[in-house]
Order: sequence, then C-alpha cells, then structure tokens
Amino acid sequence: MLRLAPLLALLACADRPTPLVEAHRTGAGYWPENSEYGTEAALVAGFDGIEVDLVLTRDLVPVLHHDPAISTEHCTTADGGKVPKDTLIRDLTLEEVQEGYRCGGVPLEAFPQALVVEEPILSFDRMLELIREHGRADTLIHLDIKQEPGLTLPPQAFAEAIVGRWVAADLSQRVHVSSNLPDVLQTFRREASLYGVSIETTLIWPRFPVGASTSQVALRREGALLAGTEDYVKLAEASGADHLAINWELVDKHLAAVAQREGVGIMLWTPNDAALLDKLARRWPADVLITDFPGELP
Amino acid sequence: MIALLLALGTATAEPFRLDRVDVLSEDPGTFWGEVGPGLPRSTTVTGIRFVEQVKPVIATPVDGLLVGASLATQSVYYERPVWKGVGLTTGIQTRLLLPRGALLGGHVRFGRVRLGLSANLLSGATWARPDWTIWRVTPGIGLGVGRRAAPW
Repeated sequence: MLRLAPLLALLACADRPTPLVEAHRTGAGYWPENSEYGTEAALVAGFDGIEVDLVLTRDLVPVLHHDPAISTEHCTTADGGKVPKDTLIRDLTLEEVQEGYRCGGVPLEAFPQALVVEEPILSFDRMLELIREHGRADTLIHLDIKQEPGLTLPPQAFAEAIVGRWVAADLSQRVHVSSNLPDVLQTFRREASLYGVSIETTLIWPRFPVGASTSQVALRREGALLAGTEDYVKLAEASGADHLAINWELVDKHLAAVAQREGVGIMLWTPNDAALLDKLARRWPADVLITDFPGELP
Repeated sequence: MIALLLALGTATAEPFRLDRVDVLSEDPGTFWGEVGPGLPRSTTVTGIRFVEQVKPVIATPVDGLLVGASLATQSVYYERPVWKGVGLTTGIQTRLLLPRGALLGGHVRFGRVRLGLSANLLSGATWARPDWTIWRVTPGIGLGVGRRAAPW
C-alpha cells in the first residue's frame, strides 16, 4: 500500500524553524548527479529529501537521467568514446542504456569538487532498492518527471511505469512528483487514483523547454509577472499542483509569500551558496530548498 | 482620475512638473529585500529588477498630489510638509492600474536628494487573480533625485 503522507501538512507546520532541504539530482555538488553512488550517499547522509530526474527507456523502464538524450557532458560510451549528440533514451532499451554508456566519470566544470565516479545509468528499480536499504522513514522522495513532448515517451507511459513501481515497492517514505508540464502532473494523479492512492504534485516554474534560450524564457516570465497575467496561486490552481518549485533567481518574493499563505507549498531551486541558503531558510517564504549542496545548511 | 487631473491642470493653468526620479522606489519597496546584498542573483536579473522599479514622479497641479510610474507599479501620492524638508507621504499603488496596495511614510529632502521611509501594505492581487484577501506589510526605503516641484 502506498502511503503518501500529506506533505502539505508538514510544510505548513508553523513552528518549523527552517524549510526542508532536498539534495538536487541526489546532491550534484558532492557526487555524480542521478547516480547510484549519489543516491546511496544522499540517503546515508540523511538529507531531508532527495530529488531525482526520471526518463523512460524504449522498453518502458524509468532511469535516472536529467535529459531526454544521454548527456554528452556527463557521460561517455562504454568504451570511453564521445556520446553521439541526440542519443534519445526513448530509442534505447534498458540493456542498451546500461551496457552502452557510462556516466559520472567526467569531471565537471560546474562542480570541480564533486567526486568523479563512473557508473552505468541507474534504473528507478535499483533506486527503490536503495531507498529500502538506506532511506530514513521521513526522507522526502522527489521524482522530477522529464517528459518532453517530441523527445520522450508520452506522459501516460511515464505515469504507468513510475506509479506502478512505487506502489509495488510499498515504501514508507513520502513521495511527490514534479514536472514543468501540468498535463504530466494530471496524468500521474489520475494513475495514482487507479491504485486508490493520492499523490502530491509540484509544478516547476518556469518551464525551460529543451533547447530554448533561458534568457528569453526568463524575460517572458518576468514580463508576465509584471503584467500580472501570471500568478503563483493561479498557476498552482490551474495545474492542480500542491506545490510550486520556483527558480530562486526569478521568484517574486511577495507573490511567493502570498501563495504560501494560500496553502501552496513553495520550493526554491537551486540556491547553492551556504550563506544564501541560510538567508533563504530564515527569511524567505520557502517550504523546501532544493540544492546541489544540501549539507551546507546548519 | 487621469482625466480629472488633466482637467484640474487646465483649470489652474499649473503645469505638470517632474518632482524627482526615485532610483529606489518606496513602492513596491521590495528591491532591496529581494535583490539586495547577500542575494547573489545574476547581474541580468538584478539589473532587470532594478530598472523595473525606477520611478519618475510628477507633481500635479493639485497641491501635494503626485503621480509616479515605473514598470513595476503606478502610484498616486499625497505629500504634506511637516517641518523644513521633512514631510509625510501617503499613496495608493497599482500594477497596470489594478489597485494593489497603499503606503504610509515619511520623507526628508536634502537639496535634490529625497529619502523616504514607509510601510507598504501590499495585497496579493494580480490581473490573473484579482483577490484582495491576503495582505502583507513590507518596509519601503526610497531614494529619489530631483528638485522638488511642490511650492512648499
């Protein structure tokens, strides 16, 4: 039986001095993102939450990966060669993904201090085993669904593969599902209801489509906030989401505070500086901070 | 309201005059708290948020009544002198003319520099969600530059 404790009740807890801190992509500042090493290490470290990205293979197996295509930055072919551009995971079976490629073995400019550990791409099934082996009962599991129209399999395939596995695993941890597409969240809620459970969902804002200019996206969203045509409460209501995960650089603090008081959980991604995390935790309307350095906040 | 001000301007034959440019606008007054020191946002975001709130303020022909407009807010103020360069300010704030909040505070002028300190009562209303049930009080620190247009 899937036990999905109402995250909102926890998030709204008035006497909680600081927000929960989630390990972004398992804690990409410390170890390879979305990796087996990182997942186990993050669970053992006992962070409040762990966030991972999920993409579906051709044979409908969810794997941990941030992009629809195998990352040319983080991964190599199994024999150490360069990953061809646009190698879509939806075109490969789990076996092909795991035997053909290795990720995490390439030092990253963004996180030079992070451990370099080369591994096959991690399956969601293995992640569930790791949660069972190492997870605290109160660890928040955040599944970010990387469904991208035209580049991945459709939302229904994601929902069936992921909700079914989560239910079958019968884990005690709280889980919530996020996406930057309202349709994906709706599909997951509908799928969960077939199992007789409810699932908490988080809308990620803003949406940066694959290949889009981040500056243009940010400017458009800023314009919409200024014009008042975009509103956090309205976004949550329209998508049916319980929470909003907002880029911390683009967030409008006042609107976030209003949304929080209206019962919308506010998550901020991805502040990475220790002093900044401390400030956001103490002074900003945030229920969850999603960071690559979850161990930096006292 | 604009028509009324224009009518008054015609009636009194007093022109509209630039009172100041608020480099830090008291309303919404959120720039310092959101983008200020200790918040390492990108230069682009900081720059955009700064430009959004820079507000020219115009003195109207009505004594003490001023209007200001930035990208972030459009406001009507009423200012009265208290003592020498010190005065009181009240105002109503809109965003694209949607009533959003009010302000009450004081200011002081040193030559061409105007410093203001106020409390902003801000609602969560937006055009997407015109709802005035939730209000927050935020501090506003204003820094304006310009020769006072009001006669006092």
